[in-house]
Amino acid sequence: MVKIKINGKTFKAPEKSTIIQVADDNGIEIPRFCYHKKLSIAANCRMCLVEVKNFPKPLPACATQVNEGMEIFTKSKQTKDCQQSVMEFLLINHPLDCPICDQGGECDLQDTAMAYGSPKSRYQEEKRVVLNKNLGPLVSTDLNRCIQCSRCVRFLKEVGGMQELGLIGRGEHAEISAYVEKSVDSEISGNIIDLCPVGALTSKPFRYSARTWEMVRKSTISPHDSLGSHLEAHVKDGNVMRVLPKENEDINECWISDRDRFSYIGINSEDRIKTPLLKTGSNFKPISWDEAFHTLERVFHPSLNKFKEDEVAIFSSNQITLEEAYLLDKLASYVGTKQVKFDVANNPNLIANPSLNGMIGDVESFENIILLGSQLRNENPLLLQRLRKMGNAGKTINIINTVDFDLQLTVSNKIIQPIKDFQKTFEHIHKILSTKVAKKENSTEKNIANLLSEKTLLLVGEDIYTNPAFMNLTNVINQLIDLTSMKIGCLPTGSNSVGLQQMFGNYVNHIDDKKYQASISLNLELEDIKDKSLFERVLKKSKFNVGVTPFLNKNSKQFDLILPSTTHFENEGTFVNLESRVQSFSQTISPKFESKPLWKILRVLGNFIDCPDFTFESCSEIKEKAVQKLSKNKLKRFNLINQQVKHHSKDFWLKDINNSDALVRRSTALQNTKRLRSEK
Amino acid sequence: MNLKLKKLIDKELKKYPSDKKQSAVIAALAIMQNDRGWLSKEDISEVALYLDMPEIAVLEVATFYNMFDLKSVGRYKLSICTNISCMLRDADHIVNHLKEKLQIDFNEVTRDGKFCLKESECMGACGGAPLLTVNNQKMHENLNIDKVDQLLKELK
Amino acid sequence: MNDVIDKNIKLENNNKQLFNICLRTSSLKNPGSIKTYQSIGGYEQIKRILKNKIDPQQLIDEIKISGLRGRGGAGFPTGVKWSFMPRDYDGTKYIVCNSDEGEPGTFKDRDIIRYNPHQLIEGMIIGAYIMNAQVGFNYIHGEIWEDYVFFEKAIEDARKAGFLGNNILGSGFDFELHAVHGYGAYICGEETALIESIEGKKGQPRYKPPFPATYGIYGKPTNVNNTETYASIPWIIEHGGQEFMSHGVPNSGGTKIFSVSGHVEKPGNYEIQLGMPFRQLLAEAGGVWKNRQLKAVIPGGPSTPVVPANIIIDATLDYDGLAQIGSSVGAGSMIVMDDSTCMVQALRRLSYFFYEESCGQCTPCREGTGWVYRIIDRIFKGQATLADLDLLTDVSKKISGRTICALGDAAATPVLSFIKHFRSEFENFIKHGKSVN
Repeated sequence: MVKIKINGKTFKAPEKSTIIQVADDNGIEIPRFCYHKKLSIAANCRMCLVEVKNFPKPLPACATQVNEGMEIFTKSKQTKDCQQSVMEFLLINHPLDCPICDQGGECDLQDTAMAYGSPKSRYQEEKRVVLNKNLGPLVSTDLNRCIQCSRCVRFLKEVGGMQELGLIGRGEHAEISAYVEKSVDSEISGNIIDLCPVGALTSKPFRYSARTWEMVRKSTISPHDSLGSHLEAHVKDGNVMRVLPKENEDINECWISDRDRFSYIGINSEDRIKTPLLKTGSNFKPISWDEAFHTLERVFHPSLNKFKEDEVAIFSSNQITLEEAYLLDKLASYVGTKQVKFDVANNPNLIANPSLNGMIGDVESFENIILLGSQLRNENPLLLQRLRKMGNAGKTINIINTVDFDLQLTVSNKIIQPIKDFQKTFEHIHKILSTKVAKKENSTEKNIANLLSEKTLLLVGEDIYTNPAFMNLTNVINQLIDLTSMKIGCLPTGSNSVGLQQMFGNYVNHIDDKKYQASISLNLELEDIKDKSLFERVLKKSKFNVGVTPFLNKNSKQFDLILPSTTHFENEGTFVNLESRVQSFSQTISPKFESKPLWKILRVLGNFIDCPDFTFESCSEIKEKAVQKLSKNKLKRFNLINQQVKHHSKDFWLKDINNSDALVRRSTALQNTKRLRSEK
Repeated sequence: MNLKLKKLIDKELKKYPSDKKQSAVIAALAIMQNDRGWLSKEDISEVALYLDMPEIAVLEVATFYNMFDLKSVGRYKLSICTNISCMLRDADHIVNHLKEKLQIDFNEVTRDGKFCLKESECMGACGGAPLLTVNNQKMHENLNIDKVDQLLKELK
Repeated sequence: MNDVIDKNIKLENNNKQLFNICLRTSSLKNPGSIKTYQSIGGYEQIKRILKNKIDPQQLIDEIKISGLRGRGGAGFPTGVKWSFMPRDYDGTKYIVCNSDEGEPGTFKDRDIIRYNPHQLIEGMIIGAYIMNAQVGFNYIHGEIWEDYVFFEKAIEDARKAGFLGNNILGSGFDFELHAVHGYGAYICGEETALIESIEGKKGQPRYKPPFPATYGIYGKPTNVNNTETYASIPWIIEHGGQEFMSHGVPNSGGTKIFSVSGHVEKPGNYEIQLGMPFRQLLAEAGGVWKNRQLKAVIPGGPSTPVVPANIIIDATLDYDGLAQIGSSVGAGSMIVMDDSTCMVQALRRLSYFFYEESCGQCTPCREGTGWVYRIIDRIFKGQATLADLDLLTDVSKKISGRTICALGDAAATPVLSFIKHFRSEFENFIKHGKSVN
């Protein structure tokens, strides 16, 4: 620690911290544009220049490390003169078009100009004109407003992993650009909208739709991946106008993925189902909720319909809430656990407790990561971003996978092979480590073997731990754990995969290709299912199919009864993220049309079929019961469950980040990104 | 990119560590431009591919260093310095003469596609002011009207 | 006029002469060849050093005694700078020769490269030995392409003669030297921009600290010195620091090349013993051309303040002498202006240069240099008011000292010094809308 003085007051600060960090930590305001705590230091905007005793020139607070005895003045004449002059320079070529700028009211430039600038400009020459660029469907440009702070360039290079934007040209003519006619395709590109301190980069879908002060802010949790990112939905007139990150250092830091940011566009899709629908012949007719529940009662009331073993199939999305899962569990027990088969996305776990097995932030404390078969860019882009950070910091990221994904990070060792060869690879690694005599060998396996220690984390992707081939792998991996003390973790993908696993334990199972009496699909579409043809065959054979879904979709015709559920933003509930963190969220907007949150549909269904202890008044009441059922087992070794799985699709399932669930699929902006188009 | 160009770039690459291919980007772009006259979008992409760089990073370099041309400059690019030492020795006369004779302004190409005139900053040869370079490589110093006329004649 | 100068000035009480150290081969036949250089004792110093394994500290002490200061413009003592390079460093260290001279009026490094490249190469090898660097680069201004090609050949000749490569002269010392070129960016003469450029990036200066000695090329310790600085080294090692020092004056040891351009009869490079009176150098350069009168001189390149004739005429050319008259040696890029020169037009061109060459990274320089140029352009076009002169001064002051690199300061210097010394000429121009010189 060093002692410094700011404006005459003494502060203690960690060595090597910068003036701006110390000021921020102590609530002393220093204006800035280019500085961002998560990006490299550019020191180019000069807004944070401060007077420092014994230095003839003012110093940039963002780039100057504190020294013992340093005396800093953030309000002195020299500092103020610097702030005023930099502000004046920044504004001479700025169009000052705040009335028509989406950033108006939440603009760093506007705020800083008010606080530190001079009321009038002495510039009388013509202002610079910069042509706008088409960066794709998500980010809109107004480059006349750009102040060349380079935050967007640095973000895409350092956090996004790929330099997609640059400052081309030089001097006054330097301008932000992607390569000729290219769009920005990073799956976390939307963060540059938040990073832009002016209105040069704004949200294209949000453009001109609302002013910041007209919107109510509602917190929610991302439904799109297992990270559980904290989101802030901005609501006007009962509609979500935009979604922004809510900073949470332990989870999403200050970022969110593009699908978190732009999925809300799907809420008002034309596919939304307005009322319950009942099949009559080859058509559907709208019915009331009361009629719908009576129909369900006739099928599922135990006194009217006794099911035999394995006669009801429930397909569920991995995004249903903990409360909904709890109600389902109760309903299933009531109908009879043996009678009901329950399946999440037709992709059941083979091992107990697949979770990260630690906190998200802890991942970064490891020295080596072995990534075993995952599609992180599609599944969990913000966790990938943390690995990228580790790679940049000189830690090793090693990959064993069946597909050579471009993760845009520094990879130390990489093995790409069919999953059937994984066992051989791990056995080889085990042999290298267990043979005392050091063999002269120059192989990737040896490189990886040398990295295994308690400082190494083996992360197993969902593709792998749900694949039957993994059953043969657990033994050798467990031996390696014993030998090297390496740590393990899993990468489930759904926003509530861990919650569902903990709620249902081992009876999450695979539905067989056979005739069921009835099926229920919960917020699930064909695209969400690994074995699509099996799903279709089961529905075809089943006598009565219920679809609970916000949207009409490809397999709607197979349903006999369709119940309109809400999208995430109209629902409330609880998710358990990949680190087993329990996070609740409340309703962002009221349900559209006559749709109902799934938990309410299940609650009323329970009442209709006289399920006991089903008198819940609120979601939080259900949550209280639900969390008691959660188990929290630490994953030290891999323990197989579900060995009884008879048949299982071995095919690799390529997931597309922008095709991951019904809402994302209906976000027109996300669907227009190049990423999706190029991968289809 | 043909083998000859690749060989030239490879020679430049030898100056740097094998994992620092980007270091050769200025040389590689200069080699490309020397071969093609100017740098097209395709040329820049090729350099990016060859040096394993993001295309935008190559474009940043190509637009930062002003001896690179991203538009056609005719067969002969005449870059004439107008900076102070040349100005003091009447570079403006030479410029006016060239503009008149070629019937073009700065940054324009003659109708026959032969000449392009560029105003250049200091070339670090002010002892020979006024001066110009032809296609970035050949310098002509101590210019006067006669010398310029002679040069234009020689450039076929 | 009181600033009438007789070009055949009489020199009194002065013993300073032209004296070639860096340009000592220039009068010989085939001056740039390795043969010529070896014929005057070239490469003997590195041979002696390697053979006797002379302690690097001893060599640094000699350089400190010589009083050699960085010849690129900053004038930082070379011996001190070299001692900043970490001795015990596990990995590659680099030395860089900065031959990216592009400041208007600067053309001395070019003559070293084309007339005495091997002295530069030997200087770099000695530097590499002292700082224990394994790789060196000479970064040459892209516009002097023929000289770049020539230097590549000189390196080849030195390599063939065994002075470069692995195990030089059987000593176990390895040093590889490469020529690289810029391609039209003045800012790359700034040492950290030059490093960025060598890394294949835009030439945008880095914020310092860290300095190149700790974080240079690829993050490795790197020393950057000017061409003339390196080229002085073999002579200093041969003749001793004291001898070099004695050619100059206290605090300004040795010789320095002045590149004289503009309104003189014989523009060119003159290597002088520091301390030479300005009058004498002007006479060496043939005096003011066309029998005109001297009006003003920029003694060290546009980043050094302009000095009116009556002030410079009695000055001596050394670090202290030029500081006393409010200017600086800079890179020794002396731009001479006769009485026909329009100072508004001259400043307009210089300001356009800094506007054009600003890298655009930091705000005051990116926005300010364009603003400054446009105000002067308005004056030049007869569209300005007297208040614009104060605006011009104020804007320039707000660029100066507030940027990442010294280009901001350099851009402000001509504006402030031109207006300081020639304010009435600017005022007259504004009043009449044209030059009334």
